[in-house]
Amino acid sequence: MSARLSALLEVSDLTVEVRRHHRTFRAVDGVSLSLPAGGSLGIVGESGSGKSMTLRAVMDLLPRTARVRAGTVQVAGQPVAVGGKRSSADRRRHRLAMVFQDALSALDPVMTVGAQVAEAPRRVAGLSARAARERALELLRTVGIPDPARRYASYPHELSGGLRQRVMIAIALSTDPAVLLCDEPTTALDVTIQAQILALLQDLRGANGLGLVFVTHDLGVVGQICDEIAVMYAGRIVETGPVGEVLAAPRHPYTAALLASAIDVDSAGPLPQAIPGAVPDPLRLPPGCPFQPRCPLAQPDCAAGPVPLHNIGPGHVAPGRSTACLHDDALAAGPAGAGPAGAGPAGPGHG
Amino acid sequence: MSGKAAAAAPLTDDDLVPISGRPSFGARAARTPAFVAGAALIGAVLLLALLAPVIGRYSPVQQNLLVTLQGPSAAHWLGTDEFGRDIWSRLLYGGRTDLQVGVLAVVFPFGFGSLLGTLCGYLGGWLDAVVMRVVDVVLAFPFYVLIIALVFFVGEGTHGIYIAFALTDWVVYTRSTRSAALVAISQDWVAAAEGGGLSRPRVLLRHLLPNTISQAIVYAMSDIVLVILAVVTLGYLGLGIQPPAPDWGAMISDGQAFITVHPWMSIIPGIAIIITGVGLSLLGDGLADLQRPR
Repeated sequence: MSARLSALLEVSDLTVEVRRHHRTFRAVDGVSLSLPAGGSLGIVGESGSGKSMTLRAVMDLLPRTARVRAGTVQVAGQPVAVGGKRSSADRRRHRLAMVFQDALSALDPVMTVGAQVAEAPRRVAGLSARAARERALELLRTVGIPDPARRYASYPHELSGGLRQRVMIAIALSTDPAVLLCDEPTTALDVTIQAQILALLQDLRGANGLGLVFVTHDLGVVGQICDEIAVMYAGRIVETGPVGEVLAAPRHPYTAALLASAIDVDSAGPLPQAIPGAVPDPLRLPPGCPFQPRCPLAQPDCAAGPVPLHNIGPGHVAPGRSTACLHDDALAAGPAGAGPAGAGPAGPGHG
Repeated sequence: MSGKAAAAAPLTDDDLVPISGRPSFGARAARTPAFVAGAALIGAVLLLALLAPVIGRYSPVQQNLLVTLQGPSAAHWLGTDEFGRDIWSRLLYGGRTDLQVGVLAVVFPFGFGSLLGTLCGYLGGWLDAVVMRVVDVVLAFPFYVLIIALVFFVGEGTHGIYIAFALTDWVVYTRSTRSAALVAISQDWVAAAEGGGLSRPRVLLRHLLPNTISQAIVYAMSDIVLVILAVVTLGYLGLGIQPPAPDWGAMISDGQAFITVHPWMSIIPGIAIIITGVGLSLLGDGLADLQRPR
């Protein structure tokens, strides 16, 4: 499952600095990710952990206040320009597409949705107007929009949230992407629509060998549709590994705390536990491990220096698992502060 | 209604029939009261101006010193001025001049200013910094002082008016479209368009401009009125439309000397300006409503 040799998307040591009130902080700090062809990677973390910023840096769509300080991005072995240097020709060649969190603000309000879906086939792929329209109708149908011919001429505000999200996915697919970067695509939707959108994304992945990167704060969603997971905290990845392994036996106290704070409907287990403390101010990160002030396992050495991501030694754990915790053995031996994993993932989906 | 089921269904001919269900521009316009009222007023004014040679009955510049300063009559529907010229004819021909000057003087500032402002908001950087400083400099001068100085420098008459407005009036459009573009680029749809591999000119012209332009359209309508008033003011100073060519501003200022005894000489062209102004404002509001799909 860990096909790291032929990675479709390879992000190495990505660091993004954001300027705020004349001071800069690292919104993304040395993040490395790898996605095999047809793979599905979930990035989870609280708000402000740098998940979305990571995706935008990979897409080279950072806001003006942010810039890439270091790092490289490769798609199918080829380096891709980052830091505002990517041309539209580069974008066409590298075939990365993004699905945004809020479909209403991600659709041009004064253009019909059909025209927006048809735009890339017409202008980028160079189809005739009629062929582009047929392609757009086909895409609208693919994403499960009923009666696409009627919806074609609708404006975004005339559609429901679920339909808007589908339109946005259709626009992302209209560029024929190899990797789909999804930035909390279901957060703004209610639960039944969320399930439909997730099923749609799962279908697309199974059908086309499309690689998925899925940013969310919902561990249950990651458990449903991802193979691999990366947990982010304060701009850094603190734990990675296969989804089933990480969710069943977390080796970073932050992952364990996230799991314990998730609401579990199935079991009559303990109530979800909030993580004590707050996400640190990015301008004043604590020394050493950034989670250390909130961590139940914290020891004096946690604050001594930076804690890099390291492989978890051989044993009963799968290869490809790593954690940025000095005391993860304590978690393996028996959870101290965090409860047992609540969200029981029913294994990663097909593919 | 799952994605899988829908994906399996092939595209049928039914999907390719012409897209219906959306009322045409004309149908939507007919349901926008401001647009209808504005279009009716401006249409009437335009029609009268265009038909001036047919319904004007007299030459607008022909003097007849036997019938000076007359009130309305069967021969002169709106009376005559101090040179015995027919006020009805002068009103119609004046409308031709003023509408033409107003529209033409606004075309360049509207087009250039809106494009430049949207471009500045989109690209930012040094272009934005330089352009906005120029805008600040132009705005630092009182509007009329600048226009009068420029017309005086370039030469009076319509030429001077066109050039003076071209040089100064774009800043208003640049500022408003730039701020609209700044709001727009903070929205994800600009990122989505760029991320989809569309070229920057296309993102600018096809996506940003239609979103930034609606305010500029509304302003352009009242701007036409502003130009007409500026022509009036310039006419006062002898820098506007040169006599004996008819123009509403000149008619008002000429009539001023007789305001106590023959008030209609100023009031009638004043009413024409008011009707035109109200019509253009309504038209602008209506266009803005139509531009925003709500």
